[in-house]
Amino acid sequence: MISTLATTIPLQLADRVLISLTSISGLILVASGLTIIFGLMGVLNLAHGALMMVGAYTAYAVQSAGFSPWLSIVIAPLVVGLVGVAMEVTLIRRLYDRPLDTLLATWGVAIVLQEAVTIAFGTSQKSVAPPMEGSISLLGVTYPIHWAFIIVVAVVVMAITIGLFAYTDIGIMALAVIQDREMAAAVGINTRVSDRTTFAFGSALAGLSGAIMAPLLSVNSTMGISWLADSFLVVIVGGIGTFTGTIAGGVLLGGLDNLFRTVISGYTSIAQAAVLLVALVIIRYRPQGLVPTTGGGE
Amino acid sequence: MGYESSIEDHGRKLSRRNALKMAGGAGITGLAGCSGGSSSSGSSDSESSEDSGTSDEPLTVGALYALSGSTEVIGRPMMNSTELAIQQINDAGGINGREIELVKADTASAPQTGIEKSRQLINRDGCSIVFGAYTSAMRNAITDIYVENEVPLFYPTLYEGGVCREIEGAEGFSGEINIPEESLEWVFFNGAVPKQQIQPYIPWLMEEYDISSFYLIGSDYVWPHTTNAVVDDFVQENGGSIVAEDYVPLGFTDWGSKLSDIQSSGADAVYFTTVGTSMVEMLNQAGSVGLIDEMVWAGNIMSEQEAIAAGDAADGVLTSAPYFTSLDGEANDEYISSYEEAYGTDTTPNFVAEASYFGPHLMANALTEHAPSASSGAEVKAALENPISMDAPQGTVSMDPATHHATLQSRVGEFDAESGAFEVLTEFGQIEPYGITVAEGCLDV
Repeated sequence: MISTLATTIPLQLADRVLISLTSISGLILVASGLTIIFGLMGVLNLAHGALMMVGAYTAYAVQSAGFSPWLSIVIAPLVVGLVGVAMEVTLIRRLYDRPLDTLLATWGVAIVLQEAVTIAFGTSQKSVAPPMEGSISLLGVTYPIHWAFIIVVAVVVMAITIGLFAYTDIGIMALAVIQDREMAAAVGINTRVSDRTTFAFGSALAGLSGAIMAPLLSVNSTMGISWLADSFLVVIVGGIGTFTGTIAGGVLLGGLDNLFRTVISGYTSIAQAAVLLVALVIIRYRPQGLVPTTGGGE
Repeated sequence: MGYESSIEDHGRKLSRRNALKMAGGAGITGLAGCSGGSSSSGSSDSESSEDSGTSDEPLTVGALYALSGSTEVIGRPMMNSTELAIQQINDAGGINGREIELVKADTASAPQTGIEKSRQLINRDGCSIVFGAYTSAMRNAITDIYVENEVPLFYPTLYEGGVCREIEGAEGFSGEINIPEESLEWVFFNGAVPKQQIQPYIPWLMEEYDISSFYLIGSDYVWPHTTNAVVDDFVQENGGSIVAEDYVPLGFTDWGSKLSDIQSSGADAVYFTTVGTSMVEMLNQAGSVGLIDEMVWAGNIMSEQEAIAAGDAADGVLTSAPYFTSLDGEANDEYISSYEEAYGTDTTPNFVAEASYFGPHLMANALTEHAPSASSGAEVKAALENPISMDAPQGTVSMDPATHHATLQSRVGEFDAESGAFEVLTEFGQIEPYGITVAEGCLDV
C-alpha cells in the first residue's frame, strides 16, 4: 500500500534538497514579518496570516487588472504596509502594554480582513501567476524558476532586514524604542513614529510573502491561518527577537518536515507530528529558542 | 462528500461527539413542538392552519446550506440552485396550482448551527421537507432531528455511501468500508456514491490511456478512504496495480516532496481524492514542476470550481462526475442560462449545485403525481417513495425508493483551461446507486 523508503539516486537527492530549500525559504519569508512584530515589538499579532492573505489578494487584484506580476510584488507590500499603519494607529498603539488584549484585537482584525476580502472578491478561490514562468536547470535538476526565485527572495529579504536593523539609524532607533520606550523618548526619538514604522515594515513583509507565495497556493480568505501557526512556531523555536533565530527555526522545521516526509513517505500526518514533537523538545530544553537574543532589555 | 469532516472554522474545532449530543437533546424538544405535523406549528405566519389542509395552502420547504464559513464557496451556488428550482416550479403553476414557500437557512458551515437551523425550519417554520447539508459531518449531525420529527431531508452531495449497506458487504466487494451509524429512513440522496463514478471509469481509464499502475493520493478522512477502497477493487479486477495509497492531512499545502514521491514511484497515473484548497494547491504545484504533463491525472472530486481556481495547471486533468456545466441539452441550457440571469457569474454551479437544483424538481414531480395536497413530512416522504424519473440538467435521473438513492448519469470530463469548462470525453449512461456501498433494497420500502 505504502511506497517504501525512497530510493535516493543523486538526481533525486538534488531534487529533494532544492524542494526543501524552497519550502524552508517560504517559511522564513512568511515568518520574517512576525519576527519584527512579535519577536522584536512583542505584539502577539494573530492577524499576521490575514496580512499575508491580503498580500496574496493584492497580487491577484493587480494581475487581474492586467498589470505585470512583477508590479504585484511591488504593490502588495505597500498595500499591506498601509493596512499595518491603520492597525497600529487605531488599535495596536493603545495596547503595547496589554499583550492579552492585543491577542483578541488582532484576531478581530484577522476576521475583519477575511470578511472584507470575501465581500470584495467573492468566495471562490483565486489563482495568481508567478512573475517568471518556466524552468531552469539547477544542480542537474529541471526546476521551476519561481520555486528558485522564492529561495532568492528569502535570502535577499533576510539580508536587507538584518542590515536595516543592525546598520541604519532608523533600525537602531527602532530597536532602542522597543527595548526601552521611556529612555528612547528621553533621548529625543519620536517613539510613536518609530513604532508605527516598525509595525508597518513587519506588515509589509507579510504582504510581500503573500504575493511571492501566492502562485503556489490557492488564494482564499482563510489561507493565512495555517501560515500563522507555522510562523509563530518558526519564530518561537528559532528564538524570539532575532533574525538569525528565524532563519534557524525555518531551516530546522522546514528541513525536518521535508526529511521526515521523505523518509517515512506515506505517513505524512505522522511526519508532521514528529516535527511538532521536535519543536516541543526544543522549547522544553531551550525555552529561549535556538538562537536566543543577546544583550536585550530583559 | 463528507469533506472537511472536522471543519475548522476560525479556530473552533467542531467535535462530532458534541454535535451528536446536541442532536440528541434537540430531538426531545423537537418532538414536543411538532406533534401535529407541519401545518399546525406555532409559526407566526401560518395562516388558517386549522383549515384541515386544503390543497391551496402553500407547501413550506426548507433550504439549509452554508452561506458563511469554510464551505460558503460551495453553499452559495447550492442555495441559489434550490431557490431557482422552487421559483421555476412556482412560475409553472406550483404543485397542481399549489404554491411552494421556501425558507432559507444558513448553516455557517458549523454542525451546531445546522442542528439549530434544522429545528427552526421544522418547528418554527413548519417545513414539510428540507433540502440541504454539504459535508458528511453536517449530514451526520442533523439526521437525527429529521428522523425524530418525521420530516424528509434531501441531501444533494456526492458522498461515500455506506449508510444503506448490509454489514456483510455487497456483491463480492472485498474492501473495508466505514458504515456511519445513521438512520436513513428520512434521508433522500441524489448525489453520486463512489460506485456510480468509478465502476465504468477505471476500466475506461486503463484502456484509453494504457494505464497499468496507479498512485492513489487523497485527503485523510472517510470519503477518500472509501473511494480508494472501491478504486483499488476495480483496478485489481482489471489487472492493474496500486503503487501507493497515500493520504495527506486536510489543508496540506507544501506539496514539493510529495510530488517527488509521486514522480519517482513509476506509476502511470495519479488518482487523486484530495479536496478543497489542498487539491488546488496540489495541481498548481504539480503543474509548475511539469508533473501534470508527465502522467495521467484523474479523480472524481474535482468540479468546475477547483479546476478554474487551478487554471492552467488543471488543463488536461480528468474527472468523473454525473454532471458538467458544459453539457449540451435543453434542461442544462435552461439551468445555466436562468442561473446566470438570476445570480450572475460570480458563483459557479457544479455537480453538487446541479443536484440541489434537480432535487426540488424531482420532489415537485413526485407530489404532483402522487400527493398534490401532501402537507406533513410523512406524506411528502410517501410521495417520494415512488419510482420517479425526470430530465435533469445531467440527463435522465430517477429515485430508487428501496434505497432512497438516485440512479444518475456517469461521464468523464477533461478540463480545458482556456474555456474554463470540461470537455466530455465519454458517457457511461445511467448507473444505479446500489451494489458496493449501498445495498440493493436495503430499506425494504
